[in-house]
Amino acid sequence: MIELQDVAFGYDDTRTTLEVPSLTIPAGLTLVVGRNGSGKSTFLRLIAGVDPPRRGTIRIESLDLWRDEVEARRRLAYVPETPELTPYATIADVLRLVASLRGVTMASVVNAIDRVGLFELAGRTVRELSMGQRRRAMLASALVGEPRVIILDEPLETLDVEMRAFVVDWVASLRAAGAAVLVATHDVASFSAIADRTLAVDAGRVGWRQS
Amino acid sequence: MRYGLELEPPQGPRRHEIGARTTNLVAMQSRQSSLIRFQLGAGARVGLRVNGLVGAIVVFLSGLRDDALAQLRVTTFELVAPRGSWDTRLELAGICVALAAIAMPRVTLGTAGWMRSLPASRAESRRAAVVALIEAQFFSIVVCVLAILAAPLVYHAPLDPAKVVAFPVMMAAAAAFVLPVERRAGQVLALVALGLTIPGQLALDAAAIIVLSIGDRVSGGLVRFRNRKPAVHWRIGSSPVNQWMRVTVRALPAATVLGALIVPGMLVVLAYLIVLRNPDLDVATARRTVRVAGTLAIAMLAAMLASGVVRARPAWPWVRSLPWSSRQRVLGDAMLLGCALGAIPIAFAALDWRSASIVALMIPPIATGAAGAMRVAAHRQMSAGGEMMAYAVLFGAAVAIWPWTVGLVLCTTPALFALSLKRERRAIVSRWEELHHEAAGDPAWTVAS
Repeated sequence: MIELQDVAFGYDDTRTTLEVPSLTIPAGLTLVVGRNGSGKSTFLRLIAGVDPPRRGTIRIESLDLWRDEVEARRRLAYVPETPELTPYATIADVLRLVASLRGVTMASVVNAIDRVGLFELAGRTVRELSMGQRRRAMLASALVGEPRVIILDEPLETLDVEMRAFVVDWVASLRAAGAAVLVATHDVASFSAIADRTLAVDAGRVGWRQS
Repeated sequence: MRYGLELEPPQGPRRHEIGARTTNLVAMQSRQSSLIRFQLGAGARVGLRVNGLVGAIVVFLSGLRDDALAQLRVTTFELVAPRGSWDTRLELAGICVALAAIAMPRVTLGTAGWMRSLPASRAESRRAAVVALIEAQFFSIVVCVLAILAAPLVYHAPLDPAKVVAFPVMMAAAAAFVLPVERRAGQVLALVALGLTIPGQLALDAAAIIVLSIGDRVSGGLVRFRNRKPAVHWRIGSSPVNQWMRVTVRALPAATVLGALIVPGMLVVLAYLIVLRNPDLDVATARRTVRVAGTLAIAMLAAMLASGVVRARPAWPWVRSLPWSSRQRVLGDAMLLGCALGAIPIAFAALDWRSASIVALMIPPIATGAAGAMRVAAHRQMSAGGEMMAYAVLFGAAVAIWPWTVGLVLCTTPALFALSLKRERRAIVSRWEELHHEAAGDPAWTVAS
């Protein structure tokens, strides 16, 4: 579902931060593990189409992420580690945009926002939310529509126990539905029961970990 | 409908009805309009606030002229009528760029991050940001509309179609110029297009549109906007007071500093106008004018800067656990404010150095008082402003009537420092977040709290 071919990325021209010679990530739950600063979030941002690679190609369901920008992204949902939403938008603004771009009804938005327990706060701007609530808002954006590739960067961070259980259940249901879920986490134990495989990122190099 | 969440389907065709590889115009327009709606509702709305300030400055500066009404006529002609030079249009282009540049960080916030993972092309996201930045030039739009109405209706002058047509192109070019994009050539072309719109000639307007279109093709997507960071100097020997002052200076946005200078600047200009335009004014009254205006200007500047620091600098409860004293932090703030306040007596020195010296002697107590007011600002409706105004009225009145009382005012500095110190030690810093919401101009937060 996700293919990377000879991908390299660097924040400046002098240094390569991440290199992936060739990698195919099939459907199911793939955990992405590695030490702090090893390049996990960079790897996920590349697959989510947030940062473009310096060279190489990334395909989502055979669609080039940077040539078929719109169609490739229609199939993916990304929840970053830091909820980098514009602070001046309300949750409703953000989710209305997501629904509109993914071409789904607002009923799907209402359902998503209700599932993450933010319905009463939908009119609040991102600024007014706690970090946990911002994470919930980002999760709600991933619940809008039916994305087939879900990329979650530290999805359990800052969430309460109830919400953590919800995320794990949701990931399990996505896996069962045949989606490709990438989860970068230090909390491997929470996902170990449902994980299909593990990718290890170490000093900018990505490879499968045999478990 | 609740909180703007409509249960009915959104406008435009649904994706699955259009087909898997949708590239048709309708779908593109639907995505584009969704992005534009989002941008207009979020970043541009906040970016609009600066328009009031810019408008006030322009009106104030225009009103200072003797021939303000005649100048208004000339301005209108230069903007929209066949005759006149380019001066006003050049100024308008500058204002457009300034307004767009101020709104740009807010409009682009987040657009180069998570939003890139959404199903919209880079060009669509950039164009939505351009539209939002055009909206952020609201003051320029109002000026253009008023000029278009005033020329035929008030001055009975014909409109020059070339000049009128150039306005939207000018604003789009200004917006495209300030946006950080993947290929700088796009910004260069936008600047060229902006320049072509200034003369207001049909051929140049057409050329500007073509250049802008080429720029649109080559620009690529938005890139992350980053403020230039100062070089890091790891000097261990730097004193804690210096470190504290440096942290404060870096935390203060340039817009806050410039905004703080507006009212004091007006007081300085006003004092100059009163003294210079009234040669019959006796020396004592002229000096009193400088003393009153100077004290008010110092207090206003101190209040604005102190409030700005309260909002911009995190309270950092952790910092208070480090091995340094409350005295050092208060001293750092007082010294920093004192340095900034020094601009006021310097500005008055050319008018009357004696009165300017008296105003300069007011700086230590006012700076120290402001450092103290900052410590309780979180719990006060007017932030640090209310207390500073009390100082201004008290000290200003005393010094205006009896200049010799400046010595007494100066003597209050140690007492004010002790008060500030006491407040720093007792400060509860947890309200910073709320103040920050207000500082960012978030009315929803204010209403909610």
